[in-house]
Amino acid sequence: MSDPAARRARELTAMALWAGAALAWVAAMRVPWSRHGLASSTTPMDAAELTRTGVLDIPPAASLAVVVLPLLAVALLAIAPLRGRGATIARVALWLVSCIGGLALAVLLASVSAASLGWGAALVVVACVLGGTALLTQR
Amino acid sequence: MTEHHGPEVDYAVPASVPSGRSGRSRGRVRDASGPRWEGPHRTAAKIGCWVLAAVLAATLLLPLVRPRQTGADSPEAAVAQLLHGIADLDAVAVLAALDPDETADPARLERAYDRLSTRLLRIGDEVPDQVTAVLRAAETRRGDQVGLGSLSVLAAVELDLVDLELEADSIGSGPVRVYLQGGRYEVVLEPSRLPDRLDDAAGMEPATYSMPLVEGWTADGAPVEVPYFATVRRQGRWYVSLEASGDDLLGTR
Repeated sequence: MSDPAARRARELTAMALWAGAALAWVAAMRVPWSRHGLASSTTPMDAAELTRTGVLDIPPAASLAVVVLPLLAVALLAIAPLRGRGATIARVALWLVSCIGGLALAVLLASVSAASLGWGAALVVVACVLGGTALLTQR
Repeated sequence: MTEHHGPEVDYAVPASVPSGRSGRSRGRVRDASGPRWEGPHRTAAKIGCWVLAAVLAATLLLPLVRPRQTGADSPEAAVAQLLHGIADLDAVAVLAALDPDETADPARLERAYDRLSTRLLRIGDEVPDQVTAVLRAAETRRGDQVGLGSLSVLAAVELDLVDLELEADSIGSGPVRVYLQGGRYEVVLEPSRLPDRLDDAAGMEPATYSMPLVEGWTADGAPVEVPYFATVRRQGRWYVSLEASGDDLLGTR
Protein backbone atom coordinates (compact mmCIF):
# COMPACT_ATOMS: atom_id res chain seq x y z
CA MET A 1 0.00 0.00 0.00
CA SER A 2 1.64 3.19 -1.11
CA ASP A 3 -1.10 5.76 -0.57
CA PRO A 4 -0.01 7.89 2.44
CA ALA A 5 -3.63 8.62 3.37
CA ALA A 6 -4.39 4.90 3.54
CA ARG A 7 -1.27 4.26 5.63
CA ARG A 8 -2.29 7.02 8.02
CA ALA A 9 -5.80 5.57 8.32
CA ARG A 10 -4.34 2.13 9.01
CA GLU A 11 -2.01 3.41 11.73
CA LEU A 12 -4.74 5.48 13.37
CA THR A 13 -7.13 2.52 13.29
CA ALA A 14 -4.54 0.31 14.96
CA MET A 15 -3.91 2.90 17.70
CA ALA A 16 -7.66 3.24 18.30
CA LEU A 17 -8.03 -0.54 18.52
CA TRP A 18 -5.17 -0.80 21.04
CA ALA A 19 -6.75 2.03 23.05
CA GLY A 20 -10.05 0.15 23.02
CA ALA A 21 -8.34 -3.06 24.14
CA ALA A 22 -6.57 -1.28 27.02
CA LEU A 23 -9.78 0.46 28.11
CA ALA A 24 -11.66 -2.86 28.04
CA TRP A 25 -8.98 -4.53 30.18
CA VAL A 26 -8.97 -1.73 32.74
CA ALA A 27 -12.79 -1.65 32.82
CA ALA A 28 -12.77 -5.43 33.39
CA MET A 29 -10.93 -4.78 36.66
CA ARG A 30 -13.75 -2.49 37.81
CA VAL A 31 -16.75 -4.76 37.23
CA PRO A 32 -17.67 -8.17 38.70
CA TRP A 33 -16.67 -11.24 36.69
CA SER A 34 -19.68 -13.21 37.90
CA ARG A 35 -23.38 -12.34 37.64
CA HIS A 36 -24.70 -14.77 40.25
CA GLY A 37 -23.38 -16.46 43.34
CA LEU A 38 -19.84 -16.04 44.58
CA ALA A 39 -18.21 -12.65 44.01
CA SER A 40 -21.15 -11.37 41.98
CA SER A 41 -20.82 -8.00 43.70
CA THR A 42 -17.02 -7.89 43.93
CA THR A 43 -14.58 -6.57 41.36
CA PRO A 44 -10.97 -7.71 40.95
CA MET A 45 -9.83 -4.25 42.11
CA ASP A 46 -11.88 -4.66 45.33
CA ALA A 47 -10.01 -7.88 45.99
CA ALA A 48 -6.65 -6.27 45.16
CA GLU A 49 -7.31 -3.28 47.43
CA LEU A 50 -8.31 -5.55 50.29
CA THR A 51 -5.26 -7.76 49.74
CA ARG A 52 -3.13 -4.62 49.98
CA THR A 53 -4.26 -4.24 53.61
CA GLY A 54 -2.57 -7.52 54.51
CA VAL A 55 -5.74 -9.50 55.14
CA LEU A 56 -5.48 -13.28 55.78
CA ASP A 57 -1.69 -13.04 56.07
CA ILE A 58 -1.41 -12.51 52.29
CA PRO A 59 1.66 -10.39 51.40
CA PRO A 60 0.41 -6.92 50.32
CA ALA A 61 2.59 -7.14 47.18
CA ALA A 62 0.36 -9.99 45.97
CA SER A 63 -2.26 -7.38 45.10
CA LEU A 64 -0.06 -6.42 42.14
CA ALA A 65 -0.76 -9.82 40.57
CA VAL A 66 -4.32 -8.65 39.87
CA VAL A 67 -3.14 -5.74 37.71
CA VAL A 68 -0.38 -7.51 35.74
CA LEU A 69 -2.56 -8.51 32.78
CA PRO A 70 -4.29 -5.12 32.37
CA LEU A 71 -0.89 -3.44 32.66
CA LEU A 72 0.28 -5.54 29.70
CA ALA A 73 -2.66 -4.15 27.71
CA VAL A 74 -1.66 -0.64 28.77
CA ALA A 75 1.92 -1.34 27.64
CA LEU A 76 0.52 -2.47 24.28
CA LEU A 77 -1.22 0.89 23.94
CA ALA A 78 2.03 2.69 24.83
CA ILE A 79 3.96 0.91 22.07
CA ALA A 80 1.11 1.12 19.55
CA PRO A 81 2.67 4.08 17.65
CA LEU A 82 6.11 2.43 17.42
CA ARG A 83 7.30 0.92 14.13
CA GLY A 84 9.81 -1.75 13.25
CA ARG A 85 10.45 -5.42 13.81
CA GLY A 86 11.21 -5.08 17.55
CA ALA A 87 7.92 -3.31 18.24
CA THR A 88 6.01 -5.94 16.25
CA ILE A 89 7.64 -8.80 18.17
CA ALA A 90 6.91 -7.08 21.49
CA ARG A 91 3.29 -6.50 20.45
CA VAL A 92 2.69 -10.11 19.47
CA ALA A 93 4.36 -11.42 22.65
CA LEU A 94 2.49 -9.09 25.03
CA TRP A 95 -0.82 -9.68 23.26
CA LEU A 96 -0.37 -13.47 23.44
CA VAL A 97 0.47 -13.38 27.17
CA SER A 98 -2.46 -11.08 28.03
CA CYS A 99 -4.88 -13.14 25.91
CA ILE A 100 -3.77 -16.50 27.27
CA GLY A 101 -3.96 -15.20 30.85
CA GLY A 102 -7.31 -13.44 30.40
CA LEU A 103 -9.00 -16.25 28.52
CA ALA A 104 -7.69 -18.81 31.03
CA LEU A 105 -9.38 -16.83 33.82
CA ALA A 106 -12.62 -16.61 31.81
CA VAL A 107 -12.57 -20.36 31.09
CA LEU A 108 -11.90 -21.11 34.78
CA LEU A 109 -14.91 -19.00 35.73
CA ALA A 110 -17.04 -20.61 33.04
CA SER A 111 -16.12 -24.01 34.46
CA VAL A 112 -17.60 -22.88 37.80
CA SER A 113 -20.81 -21.64 36.24
CA ALA A 114 -21.07 -20.77 32.57
CA ALA A 115 -24.51 -19.27 33.20
CA SER A 116 -23.01 -16.80 35.65
CA LEU A 117 -20.24 -15.28 33.52
CA GLY A 118 -20.26 -11.54 34.12
CA TRP A 119 -19.17 -8.37 32.39
CA GLY A 120 -15.53 -8.69 33.44
CA ALA A 121 -15.03 -11.90 31.47
CA ALA A 122 -16.91 -10.45 28.47
CA LEU A 123 -14.74 -7.32 28.46
CA VAL A 124 -11.56 -9.40 28.45
CA VAL A 125 -12.78 -11.37 25.44
CA VAL A 126 -13.57 -8.05 23.70
CA ALA A 127 -10.07 -6.77 24.57
CA CYS A 128 -8.45 -9.87 23.07
CA VAL A 129 -10.45 -9.53 19.85
CA LEU A 130 -9.64 -5.80 19.57
CA GLY A 131 -5.94 -6.53 20.13
CA GLY A 132 -5.93 -9.29 17.52
CA THR A 133 -7.60 -6.99 15.00
CA ALA A 134 -5.03 -4.27 15.75
CA LEU A 135 -2.21 -6.76 15.14
CA LEU A 136 -3.70 -7.71 11.78
CA THR A 137 -4.11 -4.04 10.88
CA GLN A 138 -0.47 -3.31 11.72
CA ARG A 139 1.10 -6.35 10.04
CA MET B 1 55.97 3.67 -27.09
CA THR B 2 53.37 1.73 -25.48
CA GLU B 3 53.28 -2.00 -25.61
CA HIS B 4 50.15 -4.11 -25.49
CA HIS B 5 50.44 -7.08 -23.18
CA GLY B 6 47.37 -9.07 -24.26
CA PRO B 7 43.87 -8.44 -25.61
CA GLU B 8 41.91 -5.30 -24.50
CA VAL B 9 39.09 -5.85 -22.00
CA ASP B 10 35.98 -3.66 -21.30
CA TYR B 11 35.37 -3.44 -17.57
CA ALA B 12 31.70 -2.80 -16.73
CA VAL B 13 31.23 0.00 -14.20
CA PRO B 14 27.93 0.16 -12.33
CA ALA B 15 25.96 3.34 -12.87
CA SER B 16 25.68 3.99 -9.14
CA VAL B 17 27.10 2.23 -6.14
CA PRO B 18 25.42 2.58 -2.75
CA SER B 19 27.65 4.45 -0.40
CA GLY B 20 26.78 2.47 2.73
CA ARG B 21 25.40 -0.98 3.49
CA SER B 22 23.45 -2.38 0.58
CA GLY B 23 19.75 -1.48 0.66
CA ARG B 24 20.05 0.85 3.65
CA SER B 25 20.41 4.55 3.97
CA ARG B 26 22.24 5.68 7.10
CA GLY B 27 21.18 2.66 9.15
CA ARG B 28 17.37 2.94 8.68
CA VAL B 29 15.37 0.55 6.56
CA ARG B 30 13.44 2.32 3.84
CA ASP B 31 10.01 0.87 3.34
CA ALA B 32 9.75 -0.01 -0.33
CA SER B 33 5.95 0.32 -0.25
CA GLY B 34 5.97 4.11 -0.18
CA PRO B 35 6.34 7.15 2.04
CA ARG B 36 5.42 6.85 5.69
CA TRP B 37 2.91 8.93 7.56
CA GLU B 38 4.90 11.56 9.44
CA GLY B 39 4.29 15.07 10.73
CA PRO B 40 2.55 16.87 13.58
CA HIS B 41 -0.64 14.80 13.39
CA ARG B 42 1.28 11.60 13.92
CA THR B 43 3.19 13.15 16.81
CA ALA B 44 -0.15 14.18 18.36
CA ALA B 45 -1.56 10.66 17.94
CA LYS B 46 1.59 9.22 19.51
CA ILE B 47 1.37 11.56 22.50
CA GLY B 48 -2.34 10.76 22.81
CA CYS B 49 -1.55 7.04 23.11
CA TRP B 50 1.09 7.67 25.76
CA VAL B 51 -1.08 10.02 27.81
CA LEU B 52 -4.00 7.57 27.76
CA ALA B 53 -1.64 4.72 28.70
CA ALA B 54 -0.28 6.76 31.62
CA VAL B 55 -3.79 7.61 32.85
CA LEU B 56 -4.92 3.96 32.64
CA ALA B 57 -1.78 2.75 34.45
CA ALA B 58 -2.41 5.31 37.19
CA THR B 59 -6.04 4.11 37.51
CA LEU B 60 -4.76 0.61 38.15
CA LEU B 61 -1.84 1.39 40.45
CA LEU B 62 -2.98 4.37 42.56
CA PRO B 63 -5.73 2.44 44.42
CA LEU B 64 -3.07 -0.07 45.45
CA VAL B 65 -0.77 2.64 46.79
CA ARG B 66 -3.57 4.04 48.95
CA PRO B 67 -6.06 1.20 49.41
CA ARG B 68 -9.66 1.98 50.33
CA GLN B 69 -10.74 2.09 53.95
CA THR B 70 -12.19 -1.06 55.40
CA GLY B 71 -14.82 -1.19 58.13
CA ALA B 72 -17.72 1.25 58.42
CA ASP B 73 -18.66 4.63 59.85
CA SER B 74 -20.93 3.17 62.53
CA PRO B 75 -21.46 -0.13 64.39
CA GLU B 76 -24.77 -0.68 62.57
CA ALA B 77 -23.17 -0.08 59.17
CA ALA B 78 -20.44 -2.62 59.97
CA VAL B 79 -23.02 -5.33 60.79
CA ALA B 80 -25.09 -4.43 57.71
CA GLN B 81 -21.98 -4.73 55.55
CA LEU B 82 -21.23 -8.15 57.03
CA LEU B 83 -24.79 -9.47 56.56
CA HIS B 84 -25.09 -8.16 53.00
CA GLY B 85 -21.67 -9.64 52.21
CA ILE B 86 -22.80 -13.04 53.49
CA ALA B 87 -26.04 -12.85 51.45
CA ASP B 88 -24.07 -11.90 48.33
CA LEU B 89 -21.40 -14.59 48.93
CA ASP B 90 -19.01 -11.66 48.77
CA ALA B 91 -15.86 -12.71 50.60
CA VAL B 92 -14.22 -9.31 50.07
CA ALA B 93 -17.12 -7.43 51.72
CA VAL B 94 -17.22 -9.92 54.60
CA LEU B 95 -13.48 -9.65 55.30
CA ALA B 96 -13.62 -5.85 55.03
CA ALA B 97 -16.34 -5.77 57.72
CA LEU B 98 -14.45 -7.94 60.22
CA ASP B 99 -11.96 -6.77 62.85
CA PRO B 100 -8.61 -6.35 61.02
CA ASP B 101 -6.76 -7.74 64.04
CA GLU B 102 -8.65 -11.00 63.45
CA THR B 103 -8.54 -11.09 59.65
CA ALA B 104 -4.78 -10.53 59.64
CA ASP B 105 -4.38 -13.94 61.30
CA PRO B 106 -6.28 -16.72 59.44
CA ALA B 107 -5.88 -19.21 62.33
CA ARG B 108 -7.31 -16.74 64.85
CA LEU B 109 -10.21 -15.91 62.53
CA GLU B 110 -10.98 -19.59 61.95
CA ARG B 111 -10.95 -20.32 65.70
CA ALA B 112 -13.37 -17.45 66.37
CA TYR B 113 -15.68 -18.54 63.52
CA ASP B 114 -15.64 -22.21 64.55
CA ARG B 115 -16.48 -21.28 68.13
CA LEU B 116 -19.52 -19.28 67.05
CA SER B 117 -20.73 -21.69 64.35
CA THR B 118 -20.59 -24.76 66.63
CA ARG B 119 -22.12 -23.24 69.76
CA LEU B 120 -24.55 -20.67 68.40
CA LEU B 121 -27.71 -21.83 66.61
CA ARG B 122 -30.19 -19.79 64.60
CA ILE B 123 -33.87 -19.91 65.59
CA GLY B 124 -36.31 -19.08 62.82
CA ASP B 125 -38.01 -20.33 59.69
CA GLU B 126 -36.59 -23.45 58.17
CA VAL B 127 -34.80 -23.04 54.87
CA PRO B 128 -37.10 -24.24 52.01
CA ASP B 129 -36.57 -27.86 50.97
CA GLN B 130 -35.40 -27.04 47.46
CA VAL B 131 -32.79 -24.63 48.79
CA THR B 132 -31.73 -27.23 51.31
CA ALA B 133 -31.32 -29.72 48.46
CA VAL B 134 -29.09 -27.29 46.59
CA LEU B 135 -27.03 -26.54 49.69
CA ARG B 136 -26.75 -30.29 50.35
CA ALA B 137 -25.51 -30.77 46.80
CA ALA B 138 -22.93 -28.05 47.36
CA GLU B 139 -21.90 -29.68 50.61
CA THR B 140 -21.58 -33.08 48.90
CA ARG B 141 -19.30 -31.60 46.29
CA ARG B 142 -17.38 -29.52 48.80
CA GLY B 143 -15.68 -32.32 50.67
CA ASP B 144 -13.18 -30.87 53.09
CA GLN B 145 -12.69 -27.57 51.35
CA VAL B 146 -14.43 -25.10 49.11
CA GLY B 147 -13.91 -26.07 45.50
CA LEU B 148 -15.17 -25.16 42.06
CA GLY B 149 -17.86 -27.83 42.26
CA SER B 150 -19.52 -26.37 45.34
CA LEU B 151 -19.26 -22.81 44.02
CA SER B 152 -20.97 -23.79 40.77
CA VAL B 153 -23.90 -25.18 42.77
CA LEU B 154 -24.19 -22.03 44.90
CA ALA B 155 -24.61 -19.91 41.75
CA ALA B 156 -28.13 -21.36 41.52
CA VAL B 157 -29.25 -19.68 44.76
CA GLU B 158 -29.53 -15.93 45.03
CA LEU B 159 -30.09 -14.24 48.38
CA ASP B 160 -31.21 -10.68 48.83
CA LEU B 161 -31.30 -9.16 52.31
CA VAL B 162 -34.10 -6.58 52.63
CA ASP B 163 -35.74 -4.47 55.36
CA LEU B 164 -32.76 -4.87 57.66
CA GLU B 165 -33.30 -3.23 61.05
CA LEU B 166 -30.37 -2.83 63.43
CA GLU B 167 -29.97 -1.11 66.77
CA ALA B 168 -26.71 -0.33 68.53
CA ASP B 169 -26.34 -0.47 72.30
CA SER B 170 -23.10 0.41 74.02
CA ILE B 171 -21.99 -1.92 76.80
CA GLY B 172 -19.39 0.26 78.43
CA SER B 173 -16.20 1.54 76.90
CA GLY B 174 -15.47 -1.66 74.95
CA PRO B 175 -17.40 -3.40 72.18
CA VAL B 176 -20.81 -2.15 71.07
CA ARG B 177 -23.63 -4.63 70.59
CA VAL B 178 -25.68 -4.34 67.40
CA TYR B 179 -29.04 -6.09 67.71
CA LEU B 180 -30.72 -7.67 64.67
CA GLN B 181 -34.26 -6.28 65.08
CA GLY B 182 -35.60 -7.23 61.66
CA GLY B 183 -34.83 -8.22 58.11
CA ARG B 184 -35.82 -10.76 55.50
CA TYR B 185 -34.05 -12.92 52.98
CA GLU B 186 -35.56 -12.95 49.52
CA VAL B 187 -34.39 -16.26 48.09
CA VAL B 188 -34.42 -17.01 44.36
CA LEU B 189 -33.70 -20.53 43.20
CA GLU B 190 -32.73 -20.92 39.55
CA PRO B 191 -32.10 -24.62 38.80
CA SER B 192 -31.04 -23.85 35.20
CA ARG B 193 -27.80 -22.45 36.63
CA LEU B 194 -26.95 -25.75 38.28
CA PRO B 195 -24.21 -27.78 36.65
CA ASP B 196 -25.21 -30.73 34.49
CA ARG B 197 -25.56 -34.21 35.92
CA LEU B 198 -26.52 -33.05 39.41
CA ASP B 199 -28.87 -35.68 40.79
CA ASP B 200 -30.30 -33.39 43.47
CA ALA B 201 -31.54 -31.00 40.77
CA ALA B 202 -33.90 -33.54 39.20
CA GLY B 203 -37.40 -32.08 38.96
CA MET B 204 -36.50 -28.72 40.48
CA GLU B 205 -38.43 -25.69 39.29
CA PRO B 206 -37.49 -22.00 39.56
CA ALA B 207 -38.84 -20.66 42.85
CA THR B 208 -38.77 -17.61 45.12
CA TYR B 209 -39.10 -17.53 48.89
CA SER B 210 -39.16 -14.90 51.60
CA MET B 211 -37.96 -15.76 55.08
CA PRO B 212 -36.95 -13.83 58.21
CA LEU B 213 -33.25 -13.21 58.64
CA VAL B 214 -33.31 -14.60 62.15
CA GLU B 215 -35.79 -14.74 65.01
CA GLY B 216 -33.36 -15.61 67.75
CA TRP B 217 -30.27 -17.52 68.70
CA THR B 218 -29.47 -20.18 71.21
CA ALA B 219 -26.05 -19.99 72.74
CA ASP B 220 -24.98 -23.37 74.15
CA GLY B 221 -28.68 -24.29 74.32
CA ALA B 222 -29.74 -21.15 76.21
CA PRO B 223 -32.01 -18.76 74.29
CA VAL B 224 -30.73 -15.32 73.36
CA GLU B 225 -33.68 -12.92 73.34
CA VAL B 226 -32.54 -10.70 70.53
CA PRO B 227 -29.62 -11.84 68.40
CA TYR B 228 -26.70 -9.48 68.12
CA PHE B 229 -23.09 -9.05 67.04
CA ALA B 230 -20.38 -7.24 68.99
CA THR B 231 -18.54 -4.50 67.12
CA VAL B 232 -15.24 -2.84 67.92
CA ARG B 233 -13.60 0.43 66.93
CA ARG B 234 -10.17 0.38 65.26
CA GLN B 235 -8.48 3.60 64.15
CA GLY B 236 -11.77 5.46 63.90
CA ARG B 237 -13.62 2.74 61.92
CA TRP B 238 -16.14 0.17 63.15
CA TYR B 239 -15.79 -3.58 62.59
CA VAL B 240 -17.63 -6.75 63.61
CA SER B 241 -15.50 -8.78 65.98
CA LEU B 242 -16.15 -12.53 65.97
CA GLU B 243 -14.00 -12.93 69.09
CA ALA B 244 -15.82 -10.20 71.02
CA SER B 245 -19.19 -11.58 69.83
CA GLY B 246 -18.19 -15.04 71.03
CA ASP B 247 -16.95 -13.74 74.39
CA ASP B 248 -20.14 -11.71 74.89
CA LEU B 249 -22.56 -14.45 73.83
CA LEU B 250 -20.77 -17.56 75.09
CA GLY B 251 -18.48 -16.29 77.84
CA THR B 252 -14.73 -16.58 77.65
CA ARG B 253 -14.69 -20.41 77.67
